[in-house]
Amino acid sequence: MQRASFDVVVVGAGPAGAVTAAFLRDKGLSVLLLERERFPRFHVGESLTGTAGDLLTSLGLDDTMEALDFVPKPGVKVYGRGAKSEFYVPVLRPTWQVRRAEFDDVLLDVAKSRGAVYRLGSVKRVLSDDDGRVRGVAYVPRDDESQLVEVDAKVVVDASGQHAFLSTQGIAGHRQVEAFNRQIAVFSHYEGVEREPSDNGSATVILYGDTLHWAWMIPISSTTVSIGVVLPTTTYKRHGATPQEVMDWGLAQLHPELTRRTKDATQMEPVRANRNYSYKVEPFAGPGWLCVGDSHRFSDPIFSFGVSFAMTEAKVAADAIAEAIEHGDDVERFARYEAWSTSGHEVAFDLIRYFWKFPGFFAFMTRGKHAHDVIRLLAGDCFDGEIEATRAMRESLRDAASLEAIPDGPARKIAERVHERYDFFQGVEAALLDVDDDGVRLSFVMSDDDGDMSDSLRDFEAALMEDFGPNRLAIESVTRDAAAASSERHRIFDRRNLR
Amino acid sequence: MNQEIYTKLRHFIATGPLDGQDGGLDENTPLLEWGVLDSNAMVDLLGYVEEQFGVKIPFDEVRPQHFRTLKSLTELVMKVGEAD
Repeated sequence: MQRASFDVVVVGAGPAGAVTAAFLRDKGLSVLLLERERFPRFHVGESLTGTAGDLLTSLGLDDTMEALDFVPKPGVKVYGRGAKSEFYVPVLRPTWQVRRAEFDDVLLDVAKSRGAVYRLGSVKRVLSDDDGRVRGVAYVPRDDESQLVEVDAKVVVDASGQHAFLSTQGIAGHRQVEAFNRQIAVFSHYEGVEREPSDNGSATVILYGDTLHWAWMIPISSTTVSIGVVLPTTTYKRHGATPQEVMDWGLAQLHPELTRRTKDATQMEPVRANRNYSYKVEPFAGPGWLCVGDSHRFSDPIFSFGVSFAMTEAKVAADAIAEAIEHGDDVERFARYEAWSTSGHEVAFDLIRYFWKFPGFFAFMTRGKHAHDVIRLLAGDCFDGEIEATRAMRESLRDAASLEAIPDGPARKIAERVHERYDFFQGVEAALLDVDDDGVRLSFVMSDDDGDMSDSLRDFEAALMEDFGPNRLAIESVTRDAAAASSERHRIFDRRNLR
Repeated sequence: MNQEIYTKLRHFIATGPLDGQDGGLDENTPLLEWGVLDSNAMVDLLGYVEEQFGVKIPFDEVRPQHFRTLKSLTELVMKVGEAD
């Protein structure tokens, strides 16, 4: 057994971990940065937003970004169905499209050059006091796997990405399934793709078809474009047996503009596939520990917030850690970090919900009085509280003509909760509500091709039962046929159409 | 509520998106939650409103609350038409 001691140990050297480590070094703290994979390594998520651009500038990386032929990003062009739903949102401040293998390596070099101690290894467990305070980690170094090294630290930062290390250790909360949880992305790199005309040649292009069916085109060098096709798991299997087949389907069928632009393109790499396990972890900060980036939350990646949010959080987390170590009040400071982060993620989450629920209206919002707010939000400035556009979107998301006939009281409250989530119950065609003297019966009508209840529905049902109790609420799942005779019930939502 | 505008809008939705099977579509039918129209179809409806009534809905009025039912849609067309 070896022992070591640092002010802070950071688990994971991706953008969240490397940037946290770099800013902690600026505060004069000793930092151990642990990573289990040797860089450079492939990673998806190639587009940054304006907030990341600012942070790269503050890390002194503008020249490096240019020298590596990363692509300056001018904005985001969205193609929907028909010309009226097209829109373009410029970036608020300069930022970049990046090849993640190289980009993540650059950030790691910044952390190392500022004096973070970097070690390759697998973290095995958390060290904690009897009272639950985290005081370090134990890891197995890559170069000597017979060793277990115990590292004492005043603070442990989880920057392990989708592994969500502290959640798996039972320190942070369990991984709650979120909306957009059942999607699969297939992606590869292409040459010979037709880009946006003129000076928008390096813009991100997003193309959507049906709800939650979309594609990205992100130019990542002067010749190469990253293309991804994202589909719900429910329709994925209809479009091919392999990632390559699904990609071929997507390029041919998802959107005519995508088909046109890729007709002479050459695929440069095998198609990879990623499930979008959308989730959140709560709590994600506590005595002696906090989480940064994907280790506590991952949502629909449509607006490329991932890396930018991770870097934004890294800066604020580093400040909180330095202050906490100086003043010995980490519980309060980390709780404030957690509340700040959660509020930012919720702004982004509602922006994405609004986009998917009302894509046509979203296009109009980019043209009206909220245009500048939308530019700000897409720049990643989601952490400044509720701005006008967010307030307007939230009002629209809450509004529902279908709820008005439902009596006030618990029934209405239950219906509001279902309505709030309804876009994201994939595999659920309708939610029906019966109210009588005994209480409320909620029925989910499942679609034919998806008999297994989704995790999101199970989590949601459990939360409802906890809040309203089994005496007043019954929940059932029925097939389409069994629900046919139930036209007298309140229909909170119903995708079976009027016919 | 203006009956003429309502009747025309109802006819447009019943014969277009609903393909003649309108199953009791009325002024209070929730258009979004019951899958009568998605927000892209709403945008198509704007084209119809402009052509049929000579009313151009300003960008900031194109939001979900104005498209929740045929009643709110009719009121929107009236309001914008009067302001023109």
